[in-house]
This record gives sequence, structure tokens and C-alpha cells, in this order.
Amino acid sequence: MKEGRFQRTAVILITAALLLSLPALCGYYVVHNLIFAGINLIAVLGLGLLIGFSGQVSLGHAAFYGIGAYASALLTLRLGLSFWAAWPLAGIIAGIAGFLLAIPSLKVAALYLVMTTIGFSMIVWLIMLQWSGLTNGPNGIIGIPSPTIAGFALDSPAKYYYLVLVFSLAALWLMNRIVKSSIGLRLMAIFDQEEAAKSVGVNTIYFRVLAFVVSSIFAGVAGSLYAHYVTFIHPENFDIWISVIFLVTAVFGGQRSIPGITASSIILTFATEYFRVFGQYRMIGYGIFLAVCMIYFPEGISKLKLGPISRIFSKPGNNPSQ
Amino acid sequence: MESLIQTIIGGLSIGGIYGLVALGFTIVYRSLYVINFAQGDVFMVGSFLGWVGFSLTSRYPVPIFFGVLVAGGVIAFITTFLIYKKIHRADHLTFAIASIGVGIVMQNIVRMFSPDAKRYPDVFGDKVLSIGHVYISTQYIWILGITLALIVLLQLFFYKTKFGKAMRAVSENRDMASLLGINVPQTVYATFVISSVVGAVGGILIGPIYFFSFDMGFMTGLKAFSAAILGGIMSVPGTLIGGFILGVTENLGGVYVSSDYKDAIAFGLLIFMLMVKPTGLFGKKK
Amino acid sequence: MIRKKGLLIALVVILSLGMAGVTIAADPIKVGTLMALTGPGAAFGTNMLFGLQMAIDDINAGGGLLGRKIEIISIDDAAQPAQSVSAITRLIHQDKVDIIIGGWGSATVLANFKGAEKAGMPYIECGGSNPRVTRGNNNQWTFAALQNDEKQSKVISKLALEMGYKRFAILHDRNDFGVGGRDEFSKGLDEYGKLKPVVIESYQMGDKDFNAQLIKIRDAKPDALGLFGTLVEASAIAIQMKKLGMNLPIFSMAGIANVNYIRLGGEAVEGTILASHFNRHLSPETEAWAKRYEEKFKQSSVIADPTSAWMSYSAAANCFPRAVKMAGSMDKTKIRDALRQVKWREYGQDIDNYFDKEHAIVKETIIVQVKNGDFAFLKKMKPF
Repeated sequence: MKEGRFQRTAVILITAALLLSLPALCGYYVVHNLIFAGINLIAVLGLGLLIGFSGQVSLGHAAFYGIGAYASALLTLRLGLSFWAAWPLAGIIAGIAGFLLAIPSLKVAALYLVMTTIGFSMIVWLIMLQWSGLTNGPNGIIGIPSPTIAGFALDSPAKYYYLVLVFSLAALWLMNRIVKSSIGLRLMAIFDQEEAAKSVGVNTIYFRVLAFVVSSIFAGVAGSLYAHYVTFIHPENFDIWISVIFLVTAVFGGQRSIPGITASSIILTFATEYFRVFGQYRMIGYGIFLAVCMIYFPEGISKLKLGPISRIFSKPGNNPSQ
Repeated sequence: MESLIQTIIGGLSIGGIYGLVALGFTIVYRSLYVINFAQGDVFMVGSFLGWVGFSLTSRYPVPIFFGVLVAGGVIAFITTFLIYKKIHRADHLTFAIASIGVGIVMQNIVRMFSPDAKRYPDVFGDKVLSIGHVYISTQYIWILGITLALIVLLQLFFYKTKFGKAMRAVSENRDMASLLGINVPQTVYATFVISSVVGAVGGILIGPIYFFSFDMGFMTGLKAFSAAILGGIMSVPGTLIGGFILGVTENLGGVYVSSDYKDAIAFGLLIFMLMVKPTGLFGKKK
Repeated sequence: MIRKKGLLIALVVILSLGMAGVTIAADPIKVGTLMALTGPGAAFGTNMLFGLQMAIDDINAGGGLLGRKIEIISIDDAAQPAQSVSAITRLIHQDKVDIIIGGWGSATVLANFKGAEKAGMPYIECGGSNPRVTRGNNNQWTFAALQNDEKQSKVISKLALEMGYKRFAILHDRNDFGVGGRDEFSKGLDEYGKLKPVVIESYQMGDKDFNAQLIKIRDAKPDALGLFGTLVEASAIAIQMKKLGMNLPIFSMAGIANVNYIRLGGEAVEGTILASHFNRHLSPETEAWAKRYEEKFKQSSVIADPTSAWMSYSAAANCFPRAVKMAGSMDKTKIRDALRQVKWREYGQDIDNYFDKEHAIVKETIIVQVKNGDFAFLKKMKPF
């Protein structure tokens, strides 16, 4: 027992040391991608909750990501708020939007939910594009300020990396707690056996809406982090393809598996960037990958043995991802 | 007044296209209860093949037309063999993602051959009839005609032919149908082949009006799906009428309300219908 | 212990020799470029890349610059702002290029030039015509080699007014390019003619059906149309206009000065008047260059379009070598300073081109008109 704990602590410390020193070890470009991997991770964790735990498939996730990004950008630029006030507000605003989408989703059969979310996503995108007074329309928003800590601006990838690292770890921890909590258990109950759940008094409506709201808060916060890193956002950044990428990342990771989603976010973010050299063939490969993956690995990579990493995330005997 | 009529006519013609592509969704959904996200790209492939054919020669439009349909059917057959037949029984998310993948592959293969938009020669004639200030292009008439003819053909097929009835039986109860000796895998192939051919027809018809481009499938596919839901995804004539309604409503909204948010009409209608009556205006409850 | 230390010292020596070796050899000058090679802008982007390639091949054939050959590193950004930011980051920090010549799409360039500014990388952008790339930014490193929309719309509005039109309809794409065109054209109408457009309609890139907008325009009874958007839609609009019985003269800008506009639009686009950057009929040299370009790239699946290729060709063949010679080295600050002073003359033009204080290019506007399936040269207008 003691040995097990020692091993675990050692792994955690080494991982921590590695994570903290990455910017020094790796080039600019790698760190740049790690930041995107972290941002995607936060968004996809939210989506994983929605798909994997409440069974509601959504291709509208980019809408909440975008709402978070725009909200954060506008709050800092137009109202002069600091990033530290803006990001939680962005999350809340995205959460409210999530609540709005949850309403039609309750009345819609599972298969059609995907289309509802697409429709919602397109409408949000259109608003971003047309409501120039608010969003600056097709010109996008330039000059989003970088976050500052005590006057020290996080305006380089190396510095921003630490910010995203903290947020990612917090998101992982938070999602882990949600999933293990009674909320998570109840959501799974609803997903797996809706009628049975209802019969034991689980308020399915409440939990389904909650899943939407929580997942969109995660997406909104991710969007805020995105906006303050790239400092320029445009409706194009939040179109349906982004939702598809989020969905694919979630499915590739195995929707219910937090370690799976983590690995998936990192792998896919880097793969998309590094395969860029192949041009069009990259996209063909991507499409083939999707189709083949669905045939042979519908559960994503969560079924692969992830060994010690997944052991960190689970206490023995109580791991829903297995 | 003339502007109103003009608007409606334009709406009917684009609506016919939506209806044709939507039929593809309907045929697949009715039989297999999955949504084929590649339907819009199938429509695009049909348009591309049509362009290839008509660029070689515009002198034999009819054989080329049927040639494209055959080619479309063959592609559907291959895709089914490689991918669809393995997952059509999986859960809807799995199929959805796989079909998204198929769509991406189709788009990018076509893009390799044609990154530019392409103009169709005016195979349906370039005459424009005018009644007062209302202008009707002969292409619109062809679209309407072929679409209606297809509906009749499809209804005949599903209700009067042995194979069509077999397909309907499979959709009602697969295991029973199999027990009755119906070749279920064959119907799976047939489902995808027919839905692709129908989509390809839409692609050829739209070519002369709106050009062909490798990315034309996405938006059209989405709106076609809205049309299918609107009219009733389980009903063939319903889907087509849904297409007309969507096309006309979109155009009217675009002219008289706001052209900025014209696209939102399609999506708003979709969400509304899904909430209120997901079986569509003409659908029967399942 | 001694062995380990010795090994370490040996390693360090070898490493530094290796590094030194790297700099002693005549390694190539690296020109980075990014543009849409996939996606809707691919027709323009691919030609821009070809133009760059042709220029670099010409320079290398002549011995290169500073005794070194030039190498191109190109990245596809699909004209997507987010991807473009990643792409330019990669060029600057991973591939460590010496200069960037390229960039296509207003939204894209507006996103990616910040990367160049932050990193101190000279960047000659050849494909973002939105004035906001240079206006008011106090750019230190970014140069706009493309005449921007503001200047072009002013020119075309002045011309349209000179030709006697009074009732203008505007139909524009809702993206940066279209909105910019609408605004600047309206400003020009106001400034030079004290006129306002009688109707303004818009559409979304990707739309196929413009009946709604065209019917509204028809109802307003204009006598000319200012069309600001990109290729495919512009041609479709021209065709659908004819099908509605509308015979309006069309005025537009360089965004559609590409052979595909004519190829797609056919007869419907005859007579369109455009402010452009280049026309092959301008002079015998432009004709010869265009022929050479088409010959060189005729095998490509993308149609070779000299107009789209000219901007990058000229930046790389005329502007860049002169700046390097003036700077005497590839030191980025020296190159940047040289770019601020360099002047060059393009084929068939009457005045020198140079970058003004805001790093925006100063050159003549070439007005062309679609005649008999080709872009015929109409006139040149000097900057005003």
C-alpha cells in the first residue's frame, strides 16, 4: 500500500515538473500548439459530459465556444473589464445560452437533437456575422487584450501556456468531481435507463438541462482563453466545422473517459497542425480516419490501456470510464 | 405584385432542389433510421460528374444525364460496401460521424480535381420566358418537371414493385423481413444507391443555375434536411413539399423581411418543427 | 569523473562547431509564404504561390541574392484566420524564415499580420486589400503591396460618376472585403458626386440564390450596380441579373479581376468595369510576362491567372531584390528600413511604386473592362 502511494506521488511530481518546464524544453511552435490543446481540452471536456454522460449529442458546441470568446472580448474591450472578471462572465453568458438550447432539446428526440444543435449553431453564427453593432460583424474583433497579472502581461506563448495549464488542470479536476459526484451518477442513470431513473424519482429534465449548462460554461471559458490568446476573433473561427472537430475529439477519446479525452485533445490538436503540410490529402486522410475509426473503434481510444495515467484519475473500484 | 410572383417562382425552383436532396435523407432514414450526413456531398458529386459529362460534349444531354446517374449509383455502391454496410446498425452517433467522414473525403477528392467553381453549359436551354415583368427561365421548368416525375417514379417503386415493397418491409421490421426471405443486405445497398442517385439528379439540375463548386454540398445538405423535417422525413411527397415550402418561405423572407438573416429562416423553421411536430407537416406518427 | 567531463567538453565543442558550420555554409535565403491553397480562396492563393515561385525561379536563375539561392517555404492557411495565425507562427518560429511574402484574404491578413509585427518579421502582404491592414496601426514590419479597397473604391466611384451614372445600387458580400467595398464606394459617391446609393443589399459567401436581393434592387430602379464580393457569387449574380431582365452596368474592384469571373459569368459579365492591379494588354512587356506565366503553369489543375499572380510576382521580383540590395544583408531591421525607401517601376506603369508612411503601396490603378471574354485595358488612374 505504501509503495503504491509512493509510486503515485512520484508519477505526479515528475509529470508536474515536466509540465512546468515544457516551455523551456520545447520550441515556440510546440508550446503554441500545447496552448490550443489545452483550450480544446476544456471545451471537449464539457462536450464529453453532454454526450457521454447525458447522451445528448451536440454539433452546436462551437456556438458556446464562440459566445464565450465574443463575450470575453467585448467585456474587456468595450466595458474595460479585466480578463479576470471577463472569463467567468463569459462562462456564465455561455451557460445561459446553453440553457436556451436545452429547452428545445428536451422536446426533441435524440436522433434529431443533432440537427437542432446544428440549427442553433448556425443561427448563433449568423448573429455573430450580422449584428455588426455588437460584434463588428464580418470584420471580427482585433486587439483583444492579453491577461495581466500584477501589471505583467501574458502576451507570449510561453507565458500564456502557464495560464492555460492552470485552467486545464482545474477543468480536469472539476469535471472529474462532477462525474464522480451524484450528478454524474444520476446523469449516467438517465442516459442508460431513462425510465428506470424516472421511476426512482430522478428529475430527468433538471439534469439534462444541467448537463447543457455545465458543458456550455466549459466551452465559454475555453472560448475566453482562446480570444485572449489569439487577440483576433472572427465568426469564421466558430463555424460548424469547429463543432465537428470538438465532436470528433470527444468521440475519439471515448466520450465518457476523461483520460481518453485528454489524450485525444492533445493528439488531434498536434496532428491537425503537423499534417498541414500534406494539404488536401490531409483532409482526405482525416475523413477516412473518421469513417474507419467509427467502424473499428467506436469507443474511441478509451479502450486502450492508458495505464498509470488513468490510475491517477481514479480511485480503485470507482471508475465510470471502465 | 410582379415582384411577389417572381419571388415565389424563384422559391419554387430552389425548393425543388432542396426537395430532391431531402429525398435522399428521407429514403435512408425511412429504411435504416440513420441520418446520412454525406447526402449534401453526394449531391455535389452528382453535380461534378454532370459537369464532367457535359463539358465533354453538350450534344447528348440525355445519355450523359443517365450516365451520371449510373456513375453516382456506382459510387454509392462502393461507399456502402466499404463503410455503410458495416455500421448502419450501429448507434446513430457512430453512423453520423462516419458519414461526416465520408462527406469530407468526397469533398476533398473532388477538390483535387476541381478547386475552382465551374460553369455548366446551358444544357437545359438559356431561354427566359417573360410574362410582363415576371421572368421564368426554362431551367426552372425543367427542375419542376423532373422533380415531380421523380416523385411519381419513387412512389410507384415503393408501393407497386416487389423490391420497393421489400424495402418497406425491412424498414418496418428487419428481422421479420429477413425471416420472410427478403435479402436484407440487398435492400441496404439499394437504399444508399437510390438516395445517392436522387441527390445526383438534384446536383445536375442545379448546375446550370448556380454553378458547381466542391463546397456546395454543405449548406444545401443542411437546408435539405430542414426541408425533410419540415415536410415529414418519413413521407416522400411530404419531403418534396417541405422543400417547396422552405424555398418559397426563404425567398419571401429574404425579400420582404431581411436578406441578412435569410438563412436563419431555414434553421429557425427546423428547430421549431423539431420541437413542435418532428414528424413533419405531412408525416404520420411512427 | 574526468572521462565524463571530457566527454561533455567534446560534445560542446562539436555542437558549437556544428552550429558555426551551419552559418558558414551558403545556406539559402528562406522566403516564407502563406495563402489559401485549399478552400474557397484556392484559385487566388494558388496563383499567388505560382507568381512567387516564378519570381524566385527568375532570381535564382540570375544567381540568387547576395550570392545565395532563395528557397520558398509555403503553408496553406485555407484563408481561415485562426489557421493563418498558426501558419505564420510556424513560419516565423519553426521554419525561421527571413521574410514573408504572401497572405491572401482580408480577414486572414488582418489576423496574421499581428504575428509579424510582434516578432519583428518583415512581411509584404500581397492579398489583403482591407485598408485596416495599414491604416492607423503604426506598422513597423508589415507592408501592404496590394492597393487597398479604400483607394480602389474611390477610383471606381469617381469613374462611375464621370461616366454619368446617378442612381447606384450596391450589392455586397458581408465579409470584410464586401463591407469595405460598400463603405468606401459610398464615401466616394458622396465625396465626388454628393450622391447616396438608392439601394444597398448584401449576401453571404456561399449563397447560390440571389433572387431576393436582386428583386429588391430591381424595384429601386437604379442605373448602375456597385458589386463588391468575391468570384463565384459575383458571376452568379451577373447571370441571375440577366435572367431577371436587368441590364445594369457593373462596377467592381480587384477582388473579381480574375479569369474565373469571365469563365463563370460568360456573356452576363460583359461590360463590367473593374479597378485592378494589372492587365496584360497594358504594354508589350505585360503581355510577354503573362504569356510566360501561363506557359509555365499550364499543367496545373488550377487555371493560371496572371492577374492574381502579378502581385506576388512583383513584390518578389521587383520590390524584394531591390530592398535586399539596398540593405546589403538579410538582417531584418535593415530589410525593413530598405523597404521603407525602395522604389520600383512595374511594366507599363508611368510612375514608380513605393510604400507610403503607413506602409501602404502607392501605385497607379489599372481600370479594366470585360470585353469579348477578356479583360480589356480601359485606362490608368494616378493616385489622388
